[in-house]
Amino acid sequence: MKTYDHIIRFTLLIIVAIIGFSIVRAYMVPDSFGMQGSYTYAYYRAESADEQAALPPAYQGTEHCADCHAPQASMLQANAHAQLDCESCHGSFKAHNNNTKDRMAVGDTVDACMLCHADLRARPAQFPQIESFAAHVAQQGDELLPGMTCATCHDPHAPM
Amino acid sequence: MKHDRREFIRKAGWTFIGSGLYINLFSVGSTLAGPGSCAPQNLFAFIVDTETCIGCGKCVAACRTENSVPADNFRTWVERYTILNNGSVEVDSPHGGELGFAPVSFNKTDIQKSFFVPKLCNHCRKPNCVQVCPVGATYVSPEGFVLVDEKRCIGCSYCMQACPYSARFMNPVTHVADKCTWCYHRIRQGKTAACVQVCPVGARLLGRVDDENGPVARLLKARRLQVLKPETGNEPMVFYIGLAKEVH
Repeated sequence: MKTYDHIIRFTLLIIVAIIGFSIVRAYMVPDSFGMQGSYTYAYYRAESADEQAALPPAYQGTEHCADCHAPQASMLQANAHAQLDCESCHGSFKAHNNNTKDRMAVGDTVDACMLCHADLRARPAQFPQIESFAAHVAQQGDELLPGMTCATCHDPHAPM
Repeated sequence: MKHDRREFIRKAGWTFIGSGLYINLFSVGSTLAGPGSCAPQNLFAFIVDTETCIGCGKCVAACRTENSVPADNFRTWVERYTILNNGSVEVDSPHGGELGFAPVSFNKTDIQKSFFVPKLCNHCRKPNCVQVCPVGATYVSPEGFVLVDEKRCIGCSYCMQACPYSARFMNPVTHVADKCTWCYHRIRQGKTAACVQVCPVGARLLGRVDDENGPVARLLKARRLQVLKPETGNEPMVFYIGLAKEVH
């Protein structure tokens, strides 16, 4: 006499395992996770891209600064530093917006200017560079006085 | 039970026809292959002009502020190449170039040429880093940006090993893989990348490749451009103007 008990038990066990796996999987895998066009390069949680796109930007651009500082912005854009953005030297708008009393000074202007204008072999030869602050003052035939900075002669917003 | 050849061939035939019907009737085939198996489009390209870069490091500093990059880690950095007359190639990048560069110690007459090379994630067309991710945490966005889902990343760092450009690092704060996003959030909000915005000489440019009148599309057509490590087959989307053969 044949008995099929072992087969029935085994089948039930498999069914329970599949149901259990499906339930766990439904909880573990995010709704938007899956193939978004390519298994190789786009198998991901679709919401992730939108989440990242919503991050707040720290840098806002000169147009944004011009809302309050129009004279400086237009002076900057009309002179040799036209390609610079306010935030190139002053840092991000975000930091300023959190504390508008912060004047966003660029610090010691000699160091700030030398970041771009120090004489380096790797810089393009036609880019204006000076060997040192003292050497530049002497070359211009001026006397190096205490407290003198680049801004004594050059307005950073209209350097030339 | 008797097995014979005729019986076997008959069963095999029915199995073949049955599975063929299953795949076609229930559209399993298209699921296996994906809708048209199309990879995401690379709609953007980044152009770096090594002939105008002055190595001021403002891009590195802006990137750190914009993306809260932890100290000693870099999403972008600037390398200085100094090629000497005897053929030796010296590369330095103190603090990723963030604080600028000091003059090199070599004799002026020994230097053949010297230049800066800003580096960042290449957002490749065929990114190795995405292929190796075991949990689907890094991916190519519909616009072609290679991004990291920090909620899914398990920090195994396979992607860091796969990247031929060393563009990825393990973020010591979030403990997940981190890299340049080409400021994806800024692009989606209609701005340009932070490093591009602050560059005082316009040595960095990010834009659409399909915008015929855009600066990037025009440069891609008009200029002779190079990419880093083309032999890896990743098809990088950062293009360089004036790249020397010594740069790797």
